[in-house]
Formats: sequence, C-alpha cells, structure tokens
Amino acid sequence: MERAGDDESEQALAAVYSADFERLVRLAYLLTGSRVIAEDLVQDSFLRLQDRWHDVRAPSAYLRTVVVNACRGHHRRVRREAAAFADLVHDGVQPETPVLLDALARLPYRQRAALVLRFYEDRPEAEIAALLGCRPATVRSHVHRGLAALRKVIT
Amino acid sequence: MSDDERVERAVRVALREAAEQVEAQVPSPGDWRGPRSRGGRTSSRRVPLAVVAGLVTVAVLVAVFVLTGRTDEATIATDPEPPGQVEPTEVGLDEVDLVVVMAIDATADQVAAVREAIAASPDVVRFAEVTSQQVLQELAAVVCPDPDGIAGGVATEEQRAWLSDMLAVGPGRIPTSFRIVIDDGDEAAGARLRDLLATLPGVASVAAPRTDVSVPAEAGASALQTRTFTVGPPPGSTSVGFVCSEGEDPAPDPGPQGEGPAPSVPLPETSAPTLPAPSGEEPADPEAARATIVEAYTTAANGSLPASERRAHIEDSEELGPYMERAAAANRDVAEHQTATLGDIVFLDADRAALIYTLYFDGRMAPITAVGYAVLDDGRWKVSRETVCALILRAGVTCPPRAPS
Repeated sequence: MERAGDDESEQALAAVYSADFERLVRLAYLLTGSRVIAEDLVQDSFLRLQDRWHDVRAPSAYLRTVVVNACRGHHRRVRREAAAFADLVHDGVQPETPVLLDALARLPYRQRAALVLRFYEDRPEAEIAALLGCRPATVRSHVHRGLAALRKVIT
Repeated sequence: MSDDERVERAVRVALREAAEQVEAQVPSPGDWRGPRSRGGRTSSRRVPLAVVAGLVTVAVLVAVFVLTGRTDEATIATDPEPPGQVEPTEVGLDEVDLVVVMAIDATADQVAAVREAIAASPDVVRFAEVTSQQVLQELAAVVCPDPDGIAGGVATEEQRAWLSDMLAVGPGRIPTSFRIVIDDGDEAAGARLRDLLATLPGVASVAAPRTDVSVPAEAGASALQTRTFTVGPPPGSTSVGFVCSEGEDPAPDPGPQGEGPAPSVPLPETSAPTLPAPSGEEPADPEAARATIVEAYTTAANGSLPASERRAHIEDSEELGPYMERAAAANRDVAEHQTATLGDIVFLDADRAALIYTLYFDGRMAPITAVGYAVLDDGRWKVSRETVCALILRAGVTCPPRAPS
C-alpha cells in the first residue's frame, strides 16, 4: 500500500492536515449534523489521503470530494434518523437558525449538500456538480428545491 | 429584498453560525496515522464490515452481493482533478438504489439494450455493470469466511428464488447485473426507472436492495455450506470458478461444453484468527484468571444486561462509553441479542492475555470470531481497550487515541 514514507511527504501531509482539518470538520458537520461523526469522517478521509498521497495532485480538492462522499455514505446509512444539529448552542444565533438547520437535516442529501456547498462554501455550480456526481442543471434544481423546503419553515 | 434573497441570506447565516460553533480539536498527525498502524480499518474491509455492522443481515448481504456485486473503493476518485471526478463504473454497495438482474438466459443483445436504457436515463447518476466473475469473487469473499452464518438470514422471495436458480445452474452462469444510483433529488425517479427497466426483455428483476428484504431464506444455504463451487464456462464466455476451502478437492466440473474443470478465481485471505505464542509468564493462579477473563468477556458482550454492568468488565469504559453507545445504536437490532463464547486463552505476561472469542447475534447476523485481549486492571481482568476499539470499528466508530500515560 502506498504511503507517505519520506520526511518531505510527511511534512507536506502534516501541513495539509493542519490547514484543512477544521475546515473539513465544519463542512462535514453541516452535512451530517453531528460533530463527532464529522470528525470521524474527516479523520477517515485523511487516512485515505495518506494511502494515496503520491497519486493525489490536489490534496485539498481530493479531501473535499472524499468528505462529501463520506457524508453521503453516512447519510444513506442512517437515512433521516441522524442527529440533526442536536448539539447546536442556540444562544447568540439568529432565531431562524435552529429551525432552518432542522429543516436542512431533513432534506435529501443532494439538496442538503448543494445548499451547503453553494451557500456556505460558495462553490460554483460546476464544482458542486462534480462533487455530487450530477449535472450543473441538477445542482440548480437541488438548490431550488432545497430553498423552497427551507422557505416553508421560516415563512 | 425579495423573498428568495431573504431565504438565501437566512440560510447563509444559519450555516455560518452552525459552522462557527465547531471548534475541531486538531489531533497531531500521529493520531490519525495511529488507527492504520494499529491494524484498524482498511479500505478493503470497509463495505462488508459496515454492512455486517447492522445495515442488513448477513443473508441479505449475501443476496445483495449476489445481486449487486461490490466494490470497496466506492466513489472516490484517485485524484479529483478536476474536483469530484468519479469513476463512472464503480458503485459502492451502500449507494445502490436499484439492482437490475438479467435473466440467466438473457442474450448479449438484451444486456446491451438494458445497458443503453440505463445510460440514457436522466434519472441515473451512475451505474455499474457487474459481471459473473466479479460476483463470484465478491460472493466468495463473503461466503467463504463463514458459510454457516448464511443459513439464518433473510432475503426476498425474489432474491431467494434467484439465489436458488444460481446454485442450481452453477455459479458459472451467473448473469450480468447492474447497480444503479439514482438522483435522490427526485424521489419518483427510482419508481419511474424501475417500471421502465422491468419491461425490457431479458430482465429478471429490478429491486431496491435496502428495502426489499423481509423473509427468511433457506434455499441455497446447504449448497453454500459445502464451501465449494466449481464453475463451468457459460457458452461464449471465459470460464470462471472458485473454491473456498483448502484441502477439499472439488469434483471436476466438465461444464456445459465438456471443456474440463474451470480455473479458480484468486480469493482474499480468509484465514482463521490465530493466537500469539504464550510468553511462559502467567498469573499466580492461571485457572482463576482464565475464569475471570471468561466472565469478563461473556458479561461485557451480553446485550441483555444493563450497560453499567457490562462496562464494569471493560478497560477504559468510562472514556469509551459514548463510542460504544454509538456503535450499539447503529446495530441496535442485533446488539441486544449479542452473546459471546471464548476459545483458547494464552497469557502474554502476568497481567495480559490473548484469546479467541466469538460473538453471536441470535441468528440475526453472522457470528464474529476474532482475537481479543484481556488486561489486569486494578486487580480485575477486563476486556482490553484495543479489543473494544477493534470491534466498534466494524460499526464505523473510531475510538479516541489512548491518552498518554
């Protein structure tokens, strides 16, 4: 199995880890609604990166893809039963935030991911499409449907 | 500000506020290399173990594997450049929305027509075509390590009939199947596609493997338990076959065209767990120690007992408690029926032992047999932390790094 074996690779890997870990956990948290699961999935994603370090040209992009896929896998395993932002601290957030997050957690994964990638990560449609394995037009559809569902809970 | 803009803005704020509450503890790089170096999860085991962990029972697993095939590296591109690039012909088991199984006597033209229909559907995100040889290899990887565990599972009547057919005609004539991921943004897409594909000539069944599961499967169990498949070449294709057990010489199968026995497909390693050699150093009363180790394991693994009683027999149980709860929650249907038995126990030193244990799940899931460890903790033999962590890793839960002593 390919592994980062030399000092230079290990240092580069460690740098990616330090730079991207928290960002990815936040992304995974929004996609899973659980901090513990988010951290686990991101840890696993770094293990995958470690195994493929010498084959990966863009580690951050690779990690984002792996995390989004891992979150989808988690979502499919637990379906809609996952903890939905159960540990969110409500103090200091907008009154609509808990309601929106609860509704977000009940969306189909692709709608949820499309909204998170579009409105949290500010990713362009083409990149979201690539991350989700669908067409850009489908991303627009997911965003539209997702927003429509969220609109219902705050109007 | 329009209504749409107001919703978008509220969503942006909500996501940002939620994300800002995450202050991830970034472990040192050594911590995330740890699980790998301790022999933890490897990608080649990930899917079957996740399934075994409670997604479906083992016989469903086998039925689904038979029907779907499996790839371990589900959807991950080796280098997402551009980001998100995925292999179009790989679909992980946990992603499959629909499985199309061709009839055993389906023609190549019929298979091609189904392939084209799937590829042309706007509802299909990805699909994989699974050949008989792939199915054989994947089936062997599941069946060979534990053929006895197959008997008590469940499958649909459709899956059972198909499995029975396959065993009757010989695995060499396993038909092509397709695994499909539909666009889950449109919940009607699966039903539409299912209706469409079911009408095509040569299609034996179209099923949603995670939901079409209900009745006990007995058909095929005895054949699977023989551990031996010898496969003749289906007309017009390369011969395939596999033999599970070592030392058991399968009867030569001339195949439909009398061409002699088929070559075997290489199998993954399926060796039984083996204990390390005893060190020679033992506790003062080894028999008493063995008895308490047995008690620790059987009590800790007894799913019918209160958690507090079970955890008293587990090393670092206070720290690991939340992780064990998560693993149990993902397997609640089987965890409550869990029991354990122990095989050989050897002492590695005066306060550490290695042993073979088997977990049973009252027929709801295949038994798990593995090497475990017991440690003397505050004068009491307990199930070791590493044993618990290895076990819950099967449910996809990773233990925290051990705190430095």
